[in-house]
Amino acid sequence: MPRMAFDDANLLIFSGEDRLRFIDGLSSNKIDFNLTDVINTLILTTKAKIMAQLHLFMLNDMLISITISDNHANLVNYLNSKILTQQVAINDVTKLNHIDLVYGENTNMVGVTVSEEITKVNVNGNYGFEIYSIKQNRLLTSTDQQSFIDWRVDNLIPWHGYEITNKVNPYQCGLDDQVHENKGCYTGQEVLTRMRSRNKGMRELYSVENVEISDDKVTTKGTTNSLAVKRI
Amino acid sequence: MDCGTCESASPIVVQKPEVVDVALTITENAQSMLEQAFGDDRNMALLVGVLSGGCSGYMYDLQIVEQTDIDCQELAISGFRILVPNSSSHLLNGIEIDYEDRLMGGGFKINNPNAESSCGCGESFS
Repeated sequence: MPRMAFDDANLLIFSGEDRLRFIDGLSSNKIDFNLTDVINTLILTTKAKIMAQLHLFMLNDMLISITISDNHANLVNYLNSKILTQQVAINDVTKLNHIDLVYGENTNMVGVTVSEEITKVNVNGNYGFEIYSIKQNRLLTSTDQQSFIDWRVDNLIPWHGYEITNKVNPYQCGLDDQVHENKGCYTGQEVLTRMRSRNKGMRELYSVENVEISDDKVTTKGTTNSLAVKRI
Repeated sequence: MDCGTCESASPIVVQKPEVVDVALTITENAQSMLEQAFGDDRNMALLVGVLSGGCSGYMYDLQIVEQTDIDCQELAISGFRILVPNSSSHLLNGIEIDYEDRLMGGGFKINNPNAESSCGCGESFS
């Protein structure tokens, strides 16, 4: 399986007895680890624009987040401002670990595998992350960005800086599956519920041959096909 | 994975908001409802807190408590004990606690001059 260094991610640990309720109240997916080992969720603005994507899993009693955002410092400030009286502490252990992106065939089902050296987190059956201490040598990683892009195009995978930006909401970049339609209030929920109920502004990610679309309409340009977003 | 549980951990420094001396008001409607809730027992207090979450980022949290472990400032308003957590004081200074008697959507309401926006149900603000 191809492996890429993924230095765009940050690794946060949430501890304290309110940690699950804290993230549940601020993000778009239901935080219930009885249902799955890995929860992919989004921190949104009040206008439902994407501030960050969190891939959450539990390790012992800690809630770990592989966090991807345009501005990590802003995100941390935002999270800190929401703690108030809740029993939550946030630690940033990014600098203690390597984070690799592993994608492609043979990626196992969603879940977490922990060994002494590596923690493997498969976030959706298509790709996952492998986390290991910086005290270990970095594993051999690929620098072939185009192969990764072509794989994304073939599998309709939206990505940060391409489809996923702070200018779009989850329904505009193919992250519908990270919005729980029946959970209670969270930041940005009113906007998304209104979009669903009025069926307005809903879009979907699709793959199209390069010859059929102009470059200014694609979000990711692959070798023969590209990704673009169209109105439903 | 290195969880940083050893001495190499790098906890994020939490920027605690400035604590302000809270002034708040309670409307006559709200006072009537508090009279009913408290009865003659004035040892109880109304804890006016804020939690993260809700459609707009923060949610009001009203509780009747005798005491709390939360670091609070205590106010006496019209004979009621009101507790406001210091960590939320910057969000709650100047609020008016009201009560709306309606079949749907009624109950205690907070009118907050610090809120830039509120969600439809009024429980959440930013």
